[in-house]
Amino acid sequence: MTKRSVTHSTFRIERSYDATPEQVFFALADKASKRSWFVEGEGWQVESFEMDFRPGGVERSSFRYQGGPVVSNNTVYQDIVENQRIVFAYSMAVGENRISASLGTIELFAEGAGTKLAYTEQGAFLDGHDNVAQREAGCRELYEALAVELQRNRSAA
Amino acid sequence: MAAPVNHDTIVLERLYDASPARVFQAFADPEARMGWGAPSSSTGLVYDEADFRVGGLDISRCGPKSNLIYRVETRYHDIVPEQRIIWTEVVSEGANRLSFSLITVEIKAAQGGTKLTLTDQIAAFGGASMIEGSRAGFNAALDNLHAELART
Repeated sequence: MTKRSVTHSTFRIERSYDATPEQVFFALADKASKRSWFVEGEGWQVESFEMDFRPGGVERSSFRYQGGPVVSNNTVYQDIVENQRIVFAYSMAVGENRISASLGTIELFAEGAGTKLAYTEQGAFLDGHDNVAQREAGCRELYEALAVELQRNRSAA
Repeated sequence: MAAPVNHDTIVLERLYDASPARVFQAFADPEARMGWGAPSSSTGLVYDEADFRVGGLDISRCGPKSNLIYRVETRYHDIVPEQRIIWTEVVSEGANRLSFSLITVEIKAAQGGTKLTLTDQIAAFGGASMIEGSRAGFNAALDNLHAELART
């Protein structure tokens, strides 16, 4: 029997981008753009990616890292204010084990010609499968990948 | 611009003179929840839809008995029978979303009864008053649950 435990923790990441709030919002809201920075990391094999970006809409993705077990992300969007705010709930699982449930708030603030993104995650980490330090590090990598994506979108325009 | 979002964490603990199975059932059964979930005798809680399983959605209304102005959308993310329930709830008034919470209820056998820990990780839109509202509401409901468990 799994020993049950829950660790609650909140962290906040701030990252400034050399892109407008509209451009940052696009990379968060557009399925193709989000897929490229959110799940297609180096060494990751994407098994599935579905995204329905509207309040109540669901995003599901599953992927493996270098042939490891399937990691899945199940997100429900709850509140969307165009170019300003996205609030969602998501849970993560590795194989059959649910490892976390979290509430995520992304806020976008115009900052000169660029954008400050603030991401706040309120997480419940389950049964010792994951921890907040690991999650925060993972999220920081994702918001770095977003910077690369914004650069790519700008070059393509 | 949208107002900044206020984030907070509320932790409430109770010791109930009842088994973990009975405490779990009080959360799992929407009929039971209608009995203790409203904070006071002048307020009401009505479930329009209830689906207690992972991925399931409940729709309820609450507020003053004569005017159930708040709509609550509950979605279950993790359920371990007699041990743990994790859900999110969105509270709205008309078209306005007021708050969004991730709520964890942990249930453990303790001192011949049950220790309950409720953790409410809340994001409040348009001011922080919903944080205090949420704290007061859950505090009152958990006290009511005490009476409900003693009565039944």
